[in-house]
Amino acid sequence: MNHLIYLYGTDWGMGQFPICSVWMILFTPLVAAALITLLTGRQKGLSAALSIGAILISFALSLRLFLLFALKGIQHHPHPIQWLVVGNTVRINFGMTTDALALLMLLVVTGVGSAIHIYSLGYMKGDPGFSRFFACMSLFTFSMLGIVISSNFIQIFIFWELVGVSSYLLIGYWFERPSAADAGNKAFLTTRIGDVGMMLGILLLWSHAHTFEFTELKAKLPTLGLPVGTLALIGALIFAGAVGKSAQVPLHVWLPDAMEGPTPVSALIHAATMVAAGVYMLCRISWLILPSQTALWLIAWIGAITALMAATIAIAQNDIKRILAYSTLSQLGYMVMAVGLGGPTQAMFHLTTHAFFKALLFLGAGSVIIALHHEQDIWKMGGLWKKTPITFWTFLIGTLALAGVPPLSGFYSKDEILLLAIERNPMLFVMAVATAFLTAYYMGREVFVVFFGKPRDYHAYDHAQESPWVMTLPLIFLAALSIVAGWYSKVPDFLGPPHEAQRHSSLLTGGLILVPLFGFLVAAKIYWKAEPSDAPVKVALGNLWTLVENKYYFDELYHWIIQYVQGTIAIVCDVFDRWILQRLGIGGLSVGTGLLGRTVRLLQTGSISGYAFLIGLGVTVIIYYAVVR
Amino acid sequence: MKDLYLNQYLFVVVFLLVAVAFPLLPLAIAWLLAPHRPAATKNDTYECGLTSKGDAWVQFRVGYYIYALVYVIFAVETVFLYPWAVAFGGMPFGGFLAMMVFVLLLVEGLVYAWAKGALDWK
Amino acid sequence: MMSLYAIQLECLISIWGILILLVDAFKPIPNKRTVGYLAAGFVAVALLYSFAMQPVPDTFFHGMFRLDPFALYFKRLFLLALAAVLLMAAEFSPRIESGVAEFYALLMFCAVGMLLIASVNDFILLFVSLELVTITFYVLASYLRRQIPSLEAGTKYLILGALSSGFTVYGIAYIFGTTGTTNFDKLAEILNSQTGPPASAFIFGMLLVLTGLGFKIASVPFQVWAPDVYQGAPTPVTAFLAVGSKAAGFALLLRVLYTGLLPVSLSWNALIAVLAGATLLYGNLGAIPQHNIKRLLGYSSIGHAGYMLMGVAAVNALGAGAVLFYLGQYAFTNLCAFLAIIAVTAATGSDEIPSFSGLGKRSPILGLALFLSMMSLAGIPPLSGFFGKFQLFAAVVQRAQTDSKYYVLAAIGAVAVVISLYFYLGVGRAIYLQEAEDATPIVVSKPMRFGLVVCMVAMIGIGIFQRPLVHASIMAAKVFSLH
Repeated sequence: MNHLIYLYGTDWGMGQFPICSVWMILFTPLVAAALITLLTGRQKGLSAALSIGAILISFALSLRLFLLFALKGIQHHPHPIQWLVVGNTVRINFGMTTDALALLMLLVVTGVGSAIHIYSLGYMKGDPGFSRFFACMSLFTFSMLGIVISSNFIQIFIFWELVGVSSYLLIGYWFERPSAADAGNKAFLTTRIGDVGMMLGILLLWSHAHTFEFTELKAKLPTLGLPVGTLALIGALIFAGAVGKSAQVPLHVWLPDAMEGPTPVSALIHAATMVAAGVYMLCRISWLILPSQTALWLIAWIGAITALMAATIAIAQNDIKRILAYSTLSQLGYMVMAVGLGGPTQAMFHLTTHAFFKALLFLGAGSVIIALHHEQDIWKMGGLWKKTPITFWTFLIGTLALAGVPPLSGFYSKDEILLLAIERNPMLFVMAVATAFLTAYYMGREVFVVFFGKPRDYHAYDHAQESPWVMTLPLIFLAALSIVAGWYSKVPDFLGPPHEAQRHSSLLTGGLILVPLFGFLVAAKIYWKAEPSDAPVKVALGNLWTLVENKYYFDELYHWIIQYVQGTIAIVCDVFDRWILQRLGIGGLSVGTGLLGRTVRLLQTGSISGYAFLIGLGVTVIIYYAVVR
Repeated sequence: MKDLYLNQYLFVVVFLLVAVAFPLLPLAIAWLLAPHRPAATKNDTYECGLTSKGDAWVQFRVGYYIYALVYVIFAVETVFLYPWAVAFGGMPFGGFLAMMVFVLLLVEGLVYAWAKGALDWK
Repeated sequence: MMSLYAIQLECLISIWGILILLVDAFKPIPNKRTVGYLAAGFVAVALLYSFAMQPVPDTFFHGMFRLDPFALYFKRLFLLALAAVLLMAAEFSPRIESGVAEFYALLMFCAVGMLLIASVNDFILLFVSLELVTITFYVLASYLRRQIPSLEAGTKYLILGALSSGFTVYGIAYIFGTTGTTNFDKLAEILNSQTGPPASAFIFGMLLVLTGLGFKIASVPFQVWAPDVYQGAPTPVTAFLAVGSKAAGFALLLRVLYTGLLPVSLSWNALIAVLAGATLLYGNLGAIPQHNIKRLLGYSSIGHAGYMLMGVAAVNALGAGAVLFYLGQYAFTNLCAFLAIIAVTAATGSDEIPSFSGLGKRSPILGLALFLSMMSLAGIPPLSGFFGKFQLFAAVVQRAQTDSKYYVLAAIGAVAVVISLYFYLGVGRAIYLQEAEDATPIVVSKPMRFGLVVCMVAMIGIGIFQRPLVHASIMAAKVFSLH
């Protein structure tokens, strides 16, 4: 009977939730991915149905789990499965965390994921790799959910790498394009740099605490009495993982290139969920970071710099998706900064609302791209608001939410972070406000250029039409969420005690409302005309414009480092490897071993009497040593 | 203790001596008593009253070996059966069963050899 | 009746073998493959049935026979090997000119000997069961009687086997002569009661017995037969030699050393350690220049005997368990390799390594199976071979804590692993990186496919979820009073 209870929970009545279906949230997408890859690859419709069905099941189950917790306070703790035991010291479980943080994230991932899966039906229509796309999406969903429910560092690291793989597969989805394949490689390798740091951090932590489990570590950490420096180092190393995955400076360079992937992928992975995984992980291990002032300082500054820098780059981009990508960077910077300011709750709140409106913006951008037959340059668009009304209105809602215009969701979450900043670090507050202004400005630029003014490419404009309902429906769904997500003011509370700032400092809030409006005004002044252009800004900014247009030359810098510094080291290593290691070391060893092998072979003469002699000799020698000697 | 244990083997030594003496003694007596008058016929190899022909190192028919093998198996069976029969009185049922299994296995071998035509002299 | 319970598996397999013989003698079945599949299926059922059998603490047949967890572990291993080898034999049957049914039956009788070996608790039964196995192998190795290599293999195995059997029985006589018993338990009692070093005559006898067992497991200096016989014998027989006969040798070695001779372990463990090192180097070095896959696996099997001897030499519970685990996973790995080799040679008619070129393209499943088994033999994680080696090394290192000379053995083992990568990867390279001269796809029959999949799943499964097999091997090793 016991194992039945273990599997199915205590009973099937109301308010109870079978434990096995908690696991189902995680494994249904994996099953779908496996089925598509192995069986249904040929039947495109069936593959899509499997993938969408899987994520809808995960969504429904997550929603139920979430509601049970939010409304009735019922929480489930599935038993961890002991996965790997090495000696008495290393124990690695495959566990499941279902606390408020995980539940919220589950809901975000499966909810936004469901909308994007359905949207993909329309976006990917007619693509030759349709089934492969959905298999990868399901694999990604599985990996992402794995990160969310992980109960220990090893588990989170495994899924961390799995999302990396699925992201790689999806960025390089159109692998026949060299730029897409390169972008996939770049994303994978860049994030790996951070992951190495994360692995080191995990191992360093383990060497002190001898456990990987979050709950155990959390309880054990205060008793360990770690030196401040060690704690800061662990925090910083693990944060390196988040820097890679959440694309913070200086490892942010992969995210804009990742826009080579199909737009639903950009929306799901490179805006709403995977890139937020770094922030999620930081929140999950906030108990590890909060005690170290140094680590917090580092995290906050990296976040703020990323936020501001990405926002400045975004004002000079011309690709509809790249602008959004830099905007994502900027908003992720916000979240990371919030964590660094000691506010994981605020970070998660912004993560949630951002997931909705940023997914919405990407899907809207995708809808525009499809309407114009895969045109991504904003200067070839214009005047689209009449042609694609649903896309326009939903895109507008997303823009306003992102800029932080009340009463849309972005306002509430951004407000929380700004209030936190002014309380903890005024310098960062200034940077954050500047970012908020720039956000409104570049989003205003994008909206005005894309949807207003005169069409600049009449041929494309004449053929443009509104997307089918499978694409607009997710847009409307996400738009609704972008509006209301902030109203449920319990979201921050839901995660734990809110910080005790002057939450209703109406003067400050009122002031903050003006920032985005001001940004929009400036943008409107420059770009709301029949033939908008960057020329006035270019003149006003001078060299600064060139700098931001070229993304502060990060790519060039890295290129230079790789070409000259790494290249020089590589030549030295090559010479050492080729001549000293290979010729003398390995070569000598290998030739020597080979010769020994040939010598041994000589013993096998093939003659029976020879063999019998060898055996007899062996016996004699053994007996001589054992008995006579 | 050790000496006593090895004493049990004295019997074997005696047996060995008697076994060696048994054939040698009559030969020695014959050698002592018989008159020595060798002749060509007398020095010839005696083989069941027939005159032997040719070399002994020739290839035999393979069928001969199969016959011999089957014969040896049953000869050995008799060697086992004899002490078994002697001790039959004080034996549990298992002893009877074991021998029956043994005999059946041998019979199976014979039946198999027969069915395969090993006993046909072709 | 309990005695019958104890030997029921042996009885079952013997009866089934006899039935095959008789039925075929009177009413020959035209399709010999079906007979093989039937036999394999029956043995598989017996294997499943063996899991319902419980170990018994008593001994049977006047202390000669045991049915402890150790015995059951090995019986299951042998039944598994037999089932797979019968499957191979069925696949191989078209190449046997006559006496296919006898081939199956001989394999089964040989397995009966192995099943007995698993339970041996007395030198007399040791010799009888050992000879049952060895004599059947003489016949099996030379079964392709029109092919000179097969005859050569049989003759070599016969002459050298007889030589080693002679050593064994001579040694048994010495042990009996100096202690007055052939029973392992009684022998241990007597040796325990003695003070001072054991008599030279006893050591002499012990070494001679070890010689015979060393021949079975192909340890240096009794390994010379292995490459020739492995190469020449029909492939199913080679597989059975590599998996069954080797495991049988180790079953006996463990049983003899860890029960009867455990009290005098100090007088043999150094010898075993030295032989382990020599065997490791010989097997792995000798494999480098080989270009015939069966001969390569012959050398490889010598090398693996070396790894397992490391565990035997450690004389601790960890080592005994590790040897058992290793044999268990080695069975799956080797059977997988031989299944694939049989399928390939059936199609190409050659077992030279170049004929495996491009196998990955000609038959993905065969390529993968052979590749995985090579990687598992080399000990690459996450395949089962890795964890097996890991445990063996752990056992040696544990022993080295008290006797630092064992670090040398561990180091030799590590060197051997590195050397072995070279030739195992060479096969892998042929499979995936080299182009086939003849790229026609190879068709794999359903039962074969089934066997391959089972072995591959086991190799990967054991590599990832080691617990069940580790548990079983530790339980089996618990019958010895080691710690």
